[in-house]
Amino acid sequence: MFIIDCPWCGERDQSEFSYGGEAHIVRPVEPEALSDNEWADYLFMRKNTKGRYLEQWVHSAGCRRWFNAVRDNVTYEISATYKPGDSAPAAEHAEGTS
Amino acid sequence: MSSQPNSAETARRNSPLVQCVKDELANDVIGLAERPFLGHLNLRGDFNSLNPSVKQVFGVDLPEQANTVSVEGAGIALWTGPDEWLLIHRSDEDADRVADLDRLTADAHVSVVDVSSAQTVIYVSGTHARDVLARGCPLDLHSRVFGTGQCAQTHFGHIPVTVWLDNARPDPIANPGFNVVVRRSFADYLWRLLDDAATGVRAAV
Ligand SMILES: [Zn+2]
Repeated sequence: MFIIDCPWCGERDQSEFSYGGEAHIVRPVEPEALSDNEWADYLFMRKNTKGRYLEQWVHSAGCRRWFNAVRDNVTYEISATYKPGDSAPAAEHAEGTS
Repeated sequence: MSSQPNSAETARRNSPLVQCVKDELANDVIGLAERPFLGHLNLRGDFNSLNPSVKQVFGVDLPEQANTVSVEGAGIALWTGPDEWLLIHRSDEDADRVADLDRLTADAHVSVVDVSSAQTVIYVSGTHARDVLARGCPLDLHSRVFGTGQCAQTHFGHIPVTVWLDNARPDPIANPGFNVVVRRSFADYLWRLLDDAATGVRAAV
């Protein structure tokens, strides 16, 4: 179990939250203009890299708002959370070198 | 809050916990009770679009600070999201107020939904009320963190609940009263879980 810092509510138990996959995936402006491969890429393909990862979480048992988290998927450490629309804090070291 | 029916209208109502044994503890260690038939309004929209009307009708300011509660006038206003509040009021006395708020906000880009019959409030009180809640709820309930004026949405067991501390009690820190808002369909389950937790806490006191 770990503690997650909701940008609105502050620190709460992990059991109040749900996971929403990789963050910052932008829906194509003109989906109808995409090829099947491009559409499949948007829908299904994720970076799934090891180490520092930008993720979506939702405070499902709390304020029910979505937000983003910077989580190391090896150590589980969450180094930052930020509201949707805000940009991710800069990495302290190059991505993928943890 | 009396649960006595006082008109033909209320005589047909059953509270969600009508079948549960009410815990009338003589001592002050743990009390469990239902606060039935309160008015519950779900408010969504901009603070600036909602607050003047709410203030005018219920005499309470919507809290802008996350997870805080305002108790004022005829209402208890809980922050439940950046654009969302839960307003608790005395439904039996406030039918006109709800209609007034509807009228005042009719042209605004807001939503005012009466969810009174969808949820109820369980009141967990006594010197060991925190211990009872802590058996199923992950909140930090220490009085330094969760005091009067605070509210929170969380869960007890698997049940979503909204909690606020009664600030009208003589000593809300040493002998707190927690209001636990729960959906009607979960109320019986939550009551039994709380009752079970209370049995364990009483045995340990
Ligand atoms: Zn939250």
